[in-house]
Amino acid sequence: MEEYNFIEALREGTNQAYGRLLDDYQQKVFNTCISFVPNREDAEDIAQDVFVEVFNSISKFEGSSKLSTWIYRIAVNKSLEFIRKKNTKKRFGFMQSLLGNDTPIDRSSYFTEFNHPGILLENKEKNEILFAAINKLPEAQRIVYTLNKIDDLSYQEVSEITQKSISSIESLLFRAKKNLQELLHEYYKKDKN
Amino acid sequence: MDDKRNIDQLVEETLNSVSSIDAIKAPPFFKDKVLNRMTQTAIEKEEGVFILNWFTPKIQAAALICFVLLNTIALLYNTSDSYSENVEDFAEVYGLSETDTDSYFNQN
Repeated sequence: MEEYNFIEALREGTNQAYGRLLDDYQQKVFNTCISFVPNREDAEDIAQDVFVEVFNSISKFEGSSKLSTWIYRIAVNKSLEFIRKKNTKKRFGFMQSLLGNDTPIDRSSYFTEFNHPGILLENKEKNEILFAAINKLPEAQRIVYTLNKIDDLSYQEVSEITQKSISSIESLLFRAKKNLQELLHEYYKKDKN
Repeated sequence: MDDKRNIDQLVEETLNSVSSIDAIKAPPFFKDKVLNRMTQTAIEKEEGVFILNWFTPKIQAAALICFVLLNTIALLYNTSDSYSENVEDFAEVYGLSETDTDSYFNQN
């Protein structure tokens, strides 16, 4: 009932309701965005777009899912939209999409400058390599891996956001990990040579 | 063999590095920036509605009837006999019409 009243207040567009929305969700949304796009400035822009989208689309929210799930979905979609745009702008990224993603990890062709404030300097290099590898995964695996492993959401939460069953989530995570192992193995093998 | 073990270890360490990522706070003034953008969006929406506020359905219907009437009149005017007169005048002015004096082949 409380969530119902809160959604009604959001539909009316009151400053108080949106103030509360931001207090409750700004950190979660920002962390989700930076999990997909590990650059502080880019993640901030995307997170702002998420809340503006909530404001513009609240009248279309039917309440078939929780408000938090809906907001997470918008955050994931906005992040992926950003990544797609940036990946297609880079010529190398375009060639990769033609070749079917079987090109190796190349940190220099990553779609943004790696600048995640939640990562200590000593761990930066490995995380940068990992994020570059995640960028090579098929989208479904990327979403599930990022939400569960980086954004630290439970299987249940990931299942609600992606509207997939828990067994699908487990299967996607297994395949994502296997693909990442292969990509990283190739990367380090080339690096040693 | 050592190289392979080394690479496997590096791969595992890289995969495990994700556990070292800390959650971070939203940037300062994030809430204010977003609320300002929402206010701006709301103002733009209202202004958009205001511009066409006067063009009510009654006025729309009246404008449509006028438009249809004018087109009907124009169509009727153009299908009358004056059309062929206009075409002849036009041809004469630009020397396109055939007369006895103008045609080379009609000269006796």
